[in-house]
This record gives sequence, C-alpha cells and structure tokens, in this order.
Amino acid sequence: MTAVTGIALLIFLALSVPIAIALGLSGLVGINSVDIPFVVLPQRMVVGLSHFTLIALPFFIFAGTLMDQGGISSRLIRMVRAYVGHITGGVAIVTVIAAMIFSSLSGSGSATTAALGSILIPAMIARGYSRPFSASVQAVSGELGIIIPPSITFILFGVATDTSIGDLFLAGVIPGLLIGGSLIVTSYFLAKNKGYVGVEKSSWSERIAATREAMWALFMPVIVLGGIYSGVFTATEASVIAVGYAFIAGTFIYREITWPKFKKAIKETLISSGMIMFIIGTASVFSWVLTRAQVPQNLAMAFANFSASPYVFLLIINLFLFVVGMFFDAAPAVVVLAGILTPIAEKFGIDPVHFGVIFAVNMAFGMVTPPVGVNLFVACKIANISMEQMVRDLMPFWVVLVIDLLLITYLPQVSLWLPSLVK
Amino acid sequence: MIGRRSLSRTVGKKRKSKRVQMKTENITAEVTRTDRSMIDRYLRLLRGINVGTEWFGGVLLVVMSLITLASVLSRYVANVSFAWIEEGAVFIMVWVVVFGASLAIEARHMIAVEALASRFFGVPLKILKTLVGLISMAFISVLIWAGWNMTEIAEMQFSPTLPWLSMFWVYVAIPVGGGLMLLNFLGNTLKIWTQEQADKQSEVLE
Repeated sequence: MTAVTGIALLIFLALSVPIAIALGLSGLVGINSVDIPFVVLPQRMVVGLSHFTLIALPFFIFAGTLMDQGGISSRLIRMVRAYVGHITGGVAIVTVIAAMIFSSLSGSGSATTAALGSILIPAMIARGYSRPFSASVQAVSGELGIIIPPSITFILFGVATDTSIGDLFLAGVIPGLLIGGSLIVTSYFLAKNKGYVGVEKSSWSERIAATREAMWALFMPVIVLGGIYSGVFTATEASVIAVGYAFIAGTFIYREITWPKFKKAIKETLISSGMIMFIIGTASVFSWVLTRAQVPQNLAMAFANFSASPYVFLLIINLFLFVVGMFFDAAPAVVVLAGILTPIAEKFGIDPVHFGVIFAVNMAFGMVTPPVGVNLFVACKIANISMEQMVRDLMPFWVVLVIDLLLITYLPQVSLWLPSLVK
Repeated sequence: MIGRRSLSRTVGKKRKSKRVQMKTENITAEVTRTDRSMIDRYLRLLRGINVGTEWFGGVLLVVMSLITLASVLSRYVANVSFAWIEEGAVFIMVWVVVFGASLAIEARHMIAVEALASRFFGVPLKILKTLVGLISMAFISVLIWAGWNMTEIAEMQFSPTLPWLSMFWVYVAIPVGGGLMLLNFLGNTLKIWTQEQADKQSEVLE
C-alpha cells in the first residue's frame, strides 16, 4: 500500500500534475489497493478542513491582501528607505528590512516576494545592482514570510500536531530576526564588494513623515503579536481581528480601498486560500493512507534503531526536510510530514514548538533552492532572468542560511526563549 | 552587464520555440475554425459561471469574517461565546475552499512541480499539458462521484451545535465544487489548443 502510493505520487508529480491532484490521486491508489470504499476521499477532505484553528489561514491571507490593496507595501518601503537607504547597498538592505516588516503582516513567502519585489527589484536594477543580485536578495528575504509570524506554515503545523499556534508564532520571532539580521549583514558586505551604493540620505523630518504614513501598518503586528503574547487572544482570534483592522486602516485611514480594490482583494484571497486549502484537503487523504499503513510507526522504529542521539536525528531530519522542501511546497509537506515526524522528534526529547521552527526554516530554505523554489520563480519573473543565472549570486546567501539553520536547530533557546517568557 | 551572454542565449531559445508555437497555433486555428465557435461559447459560459463563483465565494468569505469577528468581540465585550458560530464559520470555510479552488484552477494558480514541463516546448508541451488536464479531470470525476455518495451518508448526520443542519449541506460542497473544478479543468485543456499561451509555466502564488 505504501509503496504503490509513494510511486504513484512521484510519477504524478514528475508529470507536472498539480500537487493537490497528485496527492489525492495517489491517496486513491492507496485506498483502492486495500479495498476501502472511495467515500473516505471526500470524507477525509472535509474532516481535514473542518478545524476552527485552520480558519486563521484564509483570514491572515485576507488581511495581507487587504493591506496590500490599501497601499501598504509602498509606504513601508518609503519608510524603511528613509532610514537606511543611504547605507552602502542601501536598496538591498531596505529590501530585507521591508520583507521582515511585511512578513509580520503576511503569512506567506511568495506573497511577500511578489508584493515587495515588484517595487524593489526594479528599484535595485535602476541603482545599477545586477539583476541576479537583486532577484537573489528579494527571494531570500521573502522566505522570512513563513518564519516571522503570522505564518501559514506555523498554522498548518499547529493543526497537524496539536501544538499551540500562539507558541509557534512567538517561537518564530527571534529566528526570523536572526535570519533577517544575517541577510542584512551579507547584503552589506556583498554590496560593498560590488560597489553598490545607496540612495540620497533623508532628513529627519522626511523620516518622521514617512514613519507617520506607515504607522498604521506597523501597528498591526503589535496588535497580533502583542495580543497573542499577552494572552488576550489566540492566534485564530488574532487572524480575524487582523482582517477587521486591515479593512478599517485601508478604507478609512489610508482611503485607498475602493470597491474594485476590495473585490480584487477578495478574489485574490479566494484563489490563494482555495489553492492552499484544496492541497490541505487532498494531503489529509494522503496522510490518512500513510497512517493507516502504519508508516509513522515503522519510520519511528527505523529511526530509533538507527541512532539514539538527538543531534544525529536533527541532522538527518534537516537533510530530509531540505530535500523535501526543494521539491515540495510548504503546505503539503507540513500536512503530510509534520504529524508523522513530530512524535518521533518528541521521543528524542525535542520540543514540538522548536521542531515546528526547524520545519518552517527548512521549508523556507526550499523556497529559495532550485529546481522548484517558489520565491526564486517569482523573483526571476520580476527581474526577467532565468533561474540558472541567479545561482552564483544566491550562493553566499545560501551559506549564511545554512549557518542560521544550524544555529536554530542546535540552540533550542533561540526559538523557545520568547514563548517560555509567557508561561 | 553581467550574464548578458547567457541571458541572450536563453531568450533566443525561447523566442525560437515561441515562433514554432505560433506557427502551429495558426495551423490549428485554421483547421478548427468551425469548432472554435462552440469552444468559445463554452469558455464564455464558463467565465460567466466563474463570475458567479467569485460572487458566491466573496459573499461567503465576508460572512465568515463578520460572524467570526462578532463571536470574538462578543466574548470580550459581553463574555458570551457561541460554539455554533465557530462551527458555522468552519462549514462556510469548506464552501469557500471549493469555490476558491475552482477559481485557482481558472487562474492557473495550482502549483505543480514544473521541472519536466519546463523542458518541453510547442506541441509536445501541449500534449503533456493535455495529459495533465485529463488526469486532473479523472481525479475530479472520482471526487464528484464519491462526494455525492458521501452526501447520502451525511444526510442522516447532524451538526453537534447546529442540530437543525444536516451534514448534507457541508458535504455537498465537494460534488458541487468538484463540478466547478471539472468545468475549469476542461476549459483550461481546451484553451491549450485554442488560445495562444504566452507563458509556458503556470503562475505560482502561495
């Protein structure tokens, strides 16, 4: 049952069948091979989707698209540029910092890349930064979207493993700052080496004006994270409050959300959440088939026999997740694998919240690794180059990301310190 | 400019394949002129259906947001919580998902591993895409059929917090949404042969 299911999945994926369909079909192949009635297919899909916590996913997407339609991307960029734009490699540093802030409004990496990249990649190219460098900076900064809360990946991980999404969100903050900080430093030295300069320095009055413009957007992460941190509300409640806030800020304060823009935000939300959640539906069928075939237990036994050291386990898991992330999108990978791997990790004494962060960082890494890095794809399209052309400029960023990943993996405090303060 | 040579090489390759593609497009266009009106009529009808889906889905999304927001606020302001609101919102979400998924198919936002497809151009690519379309339609057909069978089972089940609501109304989202997805997969497959496809890879949006 497991073998046919796995082989079927690989064949369908290789043929470029959409991931949602490939997961559902190979699940069906598995169901068929043991004569279970096909009604489990719609049944598992509906059961997999009917979690109240999952509702945070469309809501955070909705809040993000409303913020974007409300003209927040350009205001954020203007504000960050006013402060750091004049430094060597200024526009690249602006890209990383803007991505860090935007990630705290949006739950997805490629949405972050797309929203900011359409403005910043042309801006970098206009300042004489090479196209591959500009696309690389934008793509690697976009991955912060799924590490800095709110994050779709954390929501899915929390639902799949019954881990507190609020804890996962808090655990993502410091790793997100760590990765963001290391990307800023890397961009600075690369830019210095290549002779990329910044923009004209802004005066303090310009800075204050730009900050005031962006203030309402900066307030949103304060509400969401502050609310979760202080225990005022859960992550799910925060998601719908974020929708209300984004709507009010965009419509009544910035006065940019008009009826056509509102309709556009709704359509984008429907498409993005429909696409991801349809994958979640069929991925639940697929993981149900694996669970029925006792794959988790067998895998746990194999791991236990192989090595008793949590360090070795974490190394193997990182390699495995890295390869998975290379070919898979974060959503199906989390739905299928998180439930299987987390209990094994717990047997090795690894905190599930820490494991969730390791999982998300690996998935983020996969977004900037060929052949199927979504962020690379989005950034290449904006910069109008091919993925192969980016590889050389991506290399230094990869090295830095590997170091970050190892730090996050082997120093649990990086992830667990902030959530431990709440308890 | 860095990488200019390799840039122009790939661009040249793409341009050539595009020319070939356009040539075949012209031939197919002439041969199938008579069938085109039927297909065009279907695609226009499909767009109309999708506009309806956008409206239905959009209204449901707004309702889902409003009732969840109301439930959160009522808990803080009046300290009352309604379990049925949470469950109702989840049921609406199932409908939002199937509507959204069929719109995502129309917008070609279904993510796929494109490593193989990106090596094909022209007619072979069209054949591969058609094959993928047929596989997708086969899966959705099974989903519709099984989903309909499931609604017959679910008719006897009732929601725990909304006792008057038969689970039929939740599960029927699968065959209805499946039907919309099937129409859109068919539409996309027809478009492969009748419309000029400028970009070879499907859009990615997470």
